[in-house]
Amino acid sequence: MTDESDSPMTDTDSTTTGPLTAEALTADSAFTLPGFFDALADGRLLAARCTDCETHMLPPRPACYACGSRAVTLSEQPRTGEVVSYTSVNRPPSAFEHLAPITVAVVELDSSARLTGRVAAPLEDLAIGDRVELEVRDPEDVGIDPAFDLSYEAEWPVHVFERA
Amino acid sequence: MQFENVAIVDITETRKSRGKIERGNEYHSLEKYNEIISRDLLDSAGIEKSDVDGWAMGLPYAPTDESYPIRLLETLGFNVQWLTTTRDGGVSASSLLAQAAMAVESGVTETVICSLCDLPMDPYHKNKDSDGPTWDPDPRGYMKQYLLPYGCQGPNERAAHAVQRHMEEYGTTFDQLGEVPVTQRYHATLNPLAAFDEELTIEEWYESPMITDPHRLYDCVMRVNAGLGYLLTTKERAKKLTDNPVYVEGAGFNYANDVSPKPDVTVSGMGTAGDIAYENAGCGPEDIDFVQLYDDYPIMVVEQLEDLGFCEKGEGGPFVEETDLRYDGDLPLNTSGGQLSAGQPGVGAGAIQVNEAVRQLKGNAENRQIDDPRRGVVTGLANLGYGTNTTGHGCVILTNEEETHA
Repeated sequence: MTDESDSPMTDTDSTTTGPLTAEALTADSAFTLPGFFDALADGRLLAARCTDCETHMLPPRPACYACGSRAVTLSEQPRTGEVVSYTSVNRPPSAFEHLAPITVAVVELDSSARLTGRVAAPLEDLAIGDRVELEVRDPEDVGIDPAFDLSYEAEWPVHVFERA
Repeated sequence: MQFENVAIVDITETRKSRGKIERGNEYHSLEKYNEIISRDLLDSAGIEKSDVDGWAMGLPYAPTDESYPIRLLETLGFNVQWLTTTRDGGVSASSLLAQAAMAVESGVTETVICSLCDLPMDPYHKNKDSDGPTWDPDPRGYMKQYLLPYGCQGPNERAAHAVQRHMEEYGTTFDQLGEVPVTQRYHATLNPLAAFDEELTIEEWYESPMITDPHRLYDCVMRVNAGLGYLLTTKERAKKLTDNPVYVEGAGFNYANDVSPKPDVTVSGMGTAGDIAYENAGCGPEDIDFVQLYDDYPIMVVEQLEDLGFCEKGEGGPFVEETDLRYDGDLPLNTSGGQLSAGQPGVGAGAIQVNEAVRQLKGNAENRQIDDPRRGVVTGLANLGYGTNTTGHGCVILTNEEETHA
């Protein structure tokens, strides 16, 4: 990443925006899942921000699905937000069975971006509107069986919301 | 779209199977299901294979090769001059009905078989998750990458988010939501083709295990193998083939209606599809005698009743509680048991609704026959997405009155 034309894919809040080239969308780019999870492992939660309409997209997308603009840039997201809706997964597939029940919420971050994720709280302790904060965890600490067919889980981090 | 010269002659539907051979479940190949339904349709109309010149096929979710529709016609021995396929999830049945009606209306074909056969529970093609579907439901890795790591596995969770919001914003209660599966199960006890036909009380519904709060076991639709189909032709010909044809009065569709990052999950896109269908049919909710609403989850029924104008937005809960939804009640709902009790046969899911509407309008619903119905609404829903509501919607208005357009 040497000159400005290469940088919008990795620079957070770069002023340089425009259509991403195919060459730019490598696994290093946070506009792809490996790049997104790499950044998350480093503690940075990245969304795409549309510079035309200010829509935030999580995980990042190379074009705005609110207005269609391709003038998107990466934007580091706040870790706090509030619960929009939630459920509890009581009958997960075998690899997740020992984790059940799993509380899952749609959270609206303070940037207005929405992210679905686990919540480290039992369902009955949670309500719509509750404040939560994102934590990034190692998948092994969360207890996901690495033998399950989720090869990326071995290295990609898991995000978990804690009650703020 | 409006239709002046098209009618449904008859429908057919096989028994449902959960693919448990050891439990005596009836199970067929896709070819066999198609053979059964085409033979039934020909027999009921008293016509020959050579009288059929068009075919409209729902593409199964079960894996098929690239020329499957043509090879299937070869296997079954149908030489047709018009063929179309569709695969827009739960909208497929209403979409296929509208496509076939347009083709007959335009004159490109005269007599069309619509077939929606699928076997999501094929016992001979196990994947490693023995109770799961037999194909890769996630070819692009969307589930694995976005949802599984968060603990979400599929529509049970996604629809649960909509229920939670509806309860929060409008005060919708469990007593209200439970009315839908319990009433529909009562209808299923009267339907010999239903997959789940044992009586269900509201107490049993309350006691059933929570799957994804606030969804209980009986709120979650179950996949089944089955074949369903309908025969369409011109009005003139239909009147020669049956004493009681059913007419397509109007149809409306709405896809990709809300792809914003922050959709309101208490609103479906059915409002727009329904408005178009009502306008084409020249009628409104007050003219509807019964509803067959796509029911993967009770909340979807409640939201559609609101979005189709049977009550105000947010009033769906009180509406289902105060309205007698039984076949002999105020507004009969899913009188075959709906998919929640009759089962969800893959691409044929919405045909559970289409078929029951046609049965009722033909007067063939036997012990669950609505008293002299004139007009009914059929819907299809598809693509319950990531943090969104459904983004595929179809609404068809059917009638047994020949001249009704306003």
